[in-house]
Amino acid sequence: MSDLPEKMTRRQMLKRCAVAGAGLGLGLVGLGGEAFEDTNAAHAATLRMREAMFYDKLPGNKIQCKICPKQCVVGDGERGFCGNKENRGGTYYTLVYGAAACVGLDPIEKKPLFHFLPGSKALSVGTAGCNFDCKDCQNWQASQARPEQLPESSVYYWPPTTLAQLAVRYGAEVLAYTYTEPVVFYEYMLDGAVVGHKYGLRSVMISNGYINREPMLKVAAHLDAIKIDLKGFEDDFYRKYCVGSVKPVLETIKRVKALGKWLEIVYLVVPTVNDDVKQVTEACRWLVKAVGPDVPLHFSRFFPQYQLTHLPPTPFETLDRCRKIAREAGLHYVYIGNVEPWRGTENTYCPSCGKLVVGRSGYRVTEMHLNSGKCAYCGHKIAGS
Amino acid sequence: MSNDSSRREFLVTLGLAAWGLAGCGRNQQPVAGAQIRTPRAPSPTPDHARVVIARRPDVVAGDGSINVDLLGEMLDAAVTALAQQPKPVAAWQTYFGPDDRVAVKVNTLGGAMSSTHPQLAQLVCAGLQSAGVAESNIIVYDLLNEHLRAAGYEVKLTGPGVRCMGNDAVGYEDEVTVVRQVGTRFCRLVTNCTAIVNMPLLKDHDLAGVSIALKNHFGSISNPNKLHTNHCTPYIADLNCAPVLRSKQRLIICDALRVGYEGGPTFKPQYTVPYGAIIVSNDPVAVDVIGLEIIEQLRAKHGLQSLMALDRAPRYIAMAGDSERRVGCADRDKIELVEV
Ligand code: SF4
Repeated sequence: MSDLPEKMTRRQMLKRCAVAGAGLGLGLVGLGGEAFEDTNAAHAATLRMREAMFYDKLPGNKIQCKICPKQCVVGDGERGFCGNKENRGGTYYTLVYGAAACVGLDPIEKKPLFHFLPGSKALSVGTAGCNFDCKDCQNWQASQARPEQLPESSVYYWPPTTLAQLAVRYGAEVLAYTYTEPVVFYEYMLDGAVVGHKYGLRSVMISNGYINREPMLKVAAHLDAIKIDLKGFEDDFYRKYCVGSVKPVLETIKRVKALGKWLEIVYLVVPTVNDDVKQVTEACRWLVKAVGPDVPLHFSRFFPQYQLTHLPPTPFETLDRCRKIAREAGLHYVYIGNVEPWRGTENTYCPSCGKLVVGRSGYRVTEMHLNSGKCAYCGHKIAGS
Repeated sequence: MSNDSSRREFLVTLGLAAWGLAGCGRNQQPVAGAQIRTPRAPSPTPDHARVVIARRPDVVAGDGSINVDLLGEMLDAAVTALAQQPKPVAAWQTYFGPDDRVAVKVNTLGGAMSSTHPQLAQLVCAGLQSAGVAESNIIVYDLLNEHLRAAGYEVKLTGPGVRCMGNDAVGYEDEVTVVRQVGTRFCRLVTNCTAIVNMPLLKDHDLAGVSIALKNHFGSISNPNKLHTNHCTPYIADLNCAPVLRSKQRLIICDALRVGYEGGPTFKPQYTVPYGAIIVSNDPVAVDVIGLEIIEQLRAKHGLQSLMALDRAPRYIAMAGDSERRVGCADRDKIELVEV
């Protein structure tokens, strides 16, 4: 949830979503795509409703959602914590199936995924809702909104087939479920990934990792790469700042690795909140032990947002200190994101000979010195997919 | 057309310019007219509260219909006793005046059988008008148009008379308000009115314990779904600390005509009884204390365990009255209960 590189107002965010959608929407005619701008709200709401997956029916028309560790018990007429699913008469519905509230045609590096199809384009979508309430959320205007709170003009009905067709039309190799939290638009992501493969598209999940085992296993079978936010390493931090807990996230990270899916990690460094040496060191050491030294780790710069507007942006020195800690812990590929491109913090260096093998600037690949995934200078295998 | 200009036109169409809403582009502050004013009546304190209960079992007929004349008499009697005025008009004038724009928060999640009765809301609007509030300056609201309609309200966005709308029609402030552990956006009706009448229902709530006056403002914010964790504690108490609510909420008129003492917040006929009461105060904490007492009595009468025994006690009520928050009076011994 840290894709936006700069502070954006709600207006800018919504405009960005709408502009991105409008730009791509030129190709909608004939593809079955539907911009809600031209439809009435009730029609739009019906199109977006699908029965949710992974929930149990309970007595008294209640349900228990089993998608994520929150395991919300939801009474008739009410919604779960994520706000985009509703219990109607004992049946649980997602209200955001195909409802792309944020869209973009991004370089894959922006997700960020640096070791997965470098230089490729990802048609990226996100819906309203999230199963966390991170006080530092950079995309809170959409992630913390209920679907009906977003302007209709900024929401596009792009069911999986439309999404795949648009990606092909615009030369994207990848579908990315991102911006907000794909765990809470699980049904859309799953179907998108399945349909995407039929069109020769890869699918990537850009997530907080707060998802239960069964749904993760099911969707992972159709995913090609996964980025997970490790937002801190202390449960107290997760409870206070995210309204979640760290253990399920760590379990998901290990699970993804065990499944052999390409994995990258982002750690958004928030001054005075999760930037202490102890927490960062423990996180890095855990990563080396749990998933190995080749997992790329991106330290991302925080900008004052949402409920933490009183904090300053993360000083570069803090991010640099985090990078040193990670390298000392043994991680081979450590990056700093959301900072000025000239600092060169996005480059990949060969862990063996130390030479620059992939140069990047502002999410663009500027130079590449790889032969079949190996360092062009010493032949060392550069981790990636 | 930009989002801002189309929204502005929409609000003008709704006739909300006088509420300061039409001039309110995204990221702009409400106009000066919407600023918080000195309350007409004393604010609630943790040290003392008066709660008036008017109960007439006959007000709800066997078929569930409401005797509106009798309900009107109950409302007059309760407001008069609360304000300690000789006549209803003088009582309403204690709290409201001609320069007010009043947002009336009803509770309509539970559908036709478990929502604030539209008849009671209508009587409250008449009371406001008797104090000189222009009918065009009264808006009845809840979270969604859809909920209001299902509860029997006529959604009325435009035209003369009292209007009625969901927050989905008018939207929320762009700015996030952080109050203690709550971060939220208030609906624009709340931020742009000068006074609030809180009209909750008296009912059980599976997560919160009970849903009465304090919980009712979950329908005044953008993200109620985020605040149900840990039995809504401390979130309900913290939300009610928001200056925009504390300074504008003048009256709480709780609908206890029918009470759901178990299985809430939605309607469960087997756990709902006609109770025939309204509970009136200027103190939301004290209303919750008295309301909880009634729910516990009904639970005991029907052989159910107390909320405390079930680990569903609404701890946020005491919290709202504690020395840090001071939203109102949570000490039963300091609540003067007047029956009329
Ligand atoms: S996905 Fe949403 S409804 Fe389901 S458990 Fe998680 S937060 Fe609750």
